[in-house]
Amino acid sequence: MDILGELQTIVREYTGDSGLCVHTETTLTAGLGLDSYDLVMLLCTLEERFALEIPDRAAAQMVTAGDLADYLEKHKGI
Amino acid sequence: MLTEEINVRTIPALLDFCQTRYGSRCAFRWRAGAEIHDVTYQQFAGQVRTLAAYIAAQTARDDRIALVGGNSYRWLLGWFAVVCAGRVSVPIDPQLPTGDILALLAKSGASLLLHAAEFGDVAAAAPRAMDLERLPVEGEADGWPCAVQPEDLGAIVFTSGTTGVPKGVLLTHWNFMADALSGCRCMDLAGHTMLAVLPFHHTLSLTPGMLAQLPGGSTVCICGGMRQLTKDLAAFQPEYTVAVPLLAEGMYRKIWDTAQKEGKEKLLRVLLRCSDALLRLGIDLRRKLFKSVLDACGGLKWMLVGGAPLSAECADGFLRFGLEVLPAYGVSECAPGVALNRSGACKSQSVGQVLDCCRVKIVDGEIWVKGDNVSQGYYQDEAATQEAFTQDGWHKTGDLGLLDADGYLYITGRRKNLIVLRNGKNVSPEGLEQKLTELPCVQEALVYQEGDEIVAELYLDTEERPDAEAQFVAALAQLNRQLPAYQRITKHKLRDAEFPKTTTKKIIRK
Repeated sequence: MDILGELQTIVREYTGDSGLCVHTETTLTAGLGLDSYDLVMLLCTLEERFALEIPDRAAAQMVTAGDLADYLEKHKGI
Repeated sequence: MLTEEINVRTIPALLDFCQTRYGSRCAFRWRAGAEIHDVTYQQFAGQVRTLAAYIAAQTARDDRIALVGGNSYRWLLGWFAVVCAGRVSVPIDPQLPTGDILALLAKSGASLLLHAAEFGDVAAAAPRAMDLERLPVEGEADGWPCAVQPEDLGAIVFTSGTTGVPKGVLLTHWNFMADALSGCRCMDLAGHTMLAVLPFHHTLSLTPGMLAQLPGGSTVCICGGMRQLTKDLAAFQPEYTVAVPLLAEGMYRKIWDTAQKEGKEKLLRVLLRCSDALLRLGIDLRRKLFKSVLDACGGLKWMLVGGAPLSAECADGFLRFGLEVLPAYGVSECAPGVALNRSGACKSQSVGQVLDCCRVKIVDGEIWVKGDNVSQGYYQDEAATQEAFTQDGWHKTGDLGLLDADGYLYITGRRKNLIVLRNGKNVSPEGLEQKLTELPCVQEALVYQEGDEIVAELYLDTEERPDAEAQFVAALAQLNRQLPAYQRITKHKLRDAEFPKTTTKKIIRK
């Protein structure tokens, strides 16, 4: 499964919405139906899942699911 | 609760007092991975003195020195050292994009930037910069580099202006100390453990979250950010914290989400009804009945919540579990505390009773504040100062409210045009509207708040540009990338006609 697919699985699990579709252009808050608290919790889950740490400044620059997936792709397993 | 009169009117005097009174007690605690670090009041005062002497040798009296970085012990050391050296601190929001940070550096005239390592790009563009981690803190400095007076400026705190141009609130040592000591007189802050989770650049974090903790010798546990919260709650087991509604409401929602996922929602509701009945008989078993719920919140006993309106459902709901959530009210211009609910006497719909360092009056529905904690005005902005402060020292908050017969303050709305989000961030709609109307496809724009979202309503130029909507969607995505996360426009609506306007051709706001 590609990173975006994994992201979709994790977000579906987090939100309990099994029909939620995540595309590269989906915005991280409104598009995923998350508020900024949820987003923080989601990032915590992703950090554990991908065994990495997302710096606050990098997180602040992410707007879409594509941005997040790109970051995970570049930094996973480093 | 502190019942004695503590006569400290400056921040260096506070550190002297704490060193003498609580020398070997733990002042600050933080986590680096699995390792916990402690610093005593004695060590902290010594390190601040050393660093203050170093900063004093590098800069001139009353120089502005900016700080940018996430929450860390080093950030705190830097801030205390700057103000104790008689320099003026300029704490900057680390969430801002690089360009905005540099604009604030220029606006404040800061001669030096103290920064966390990840802000190397900002440092490279600053007039002069020092990495917080590399500053010298070990050594023996005798006393403070210069005498600091209560009326000396301690900080310029930038806050969202209603027109989108940030205003620098001038705060003196006495503004901070008056507000902090007033908090100590009405909250039980002596000898406890608190978790500092809000960003340090914010006055809600600096004064009630930091300065008010020290006179009573409490231990401040430094949380590295929201993403560290769960681990830090478990590691430090704090008794209380200072939070914003987003955090308190998020934690509350998580309790119910977890109960639902584990199939325990019904059981929890039954237990709550039993507990409520027992409470009416004077039997309080909440901390036993809801131990697992409270443990998930790190064992917190109470939480002060300010920065934005808190839902009564959250405050009342947490109380049923045995965790007191106390709504408070403040603005940066008041360093920031104006009113807060006291433990055991909370009216959750209100923001509590007015602090004893200030007075509140309601003028044409607007909350005005006067007292020792109230700023003298805005940095190099006489027009904004005259608009928001009266000649005799009242600050017009721009918030609408009322006082009940018991002196509790209620916030009923806002006179100034400002979006206040649940994370305590203020956003100027006019600043965003200006950015939107600069887009070629947009003729008119109105920005407002719906729930916790920022919404843009637009009248596009579809005559000249048939694909205006597609152009706008692409341009909005680009614009959002340039904005700090909390200012992003998450929803837009299109109009097929111009906005209704006043006789002076201003759009009529909703």
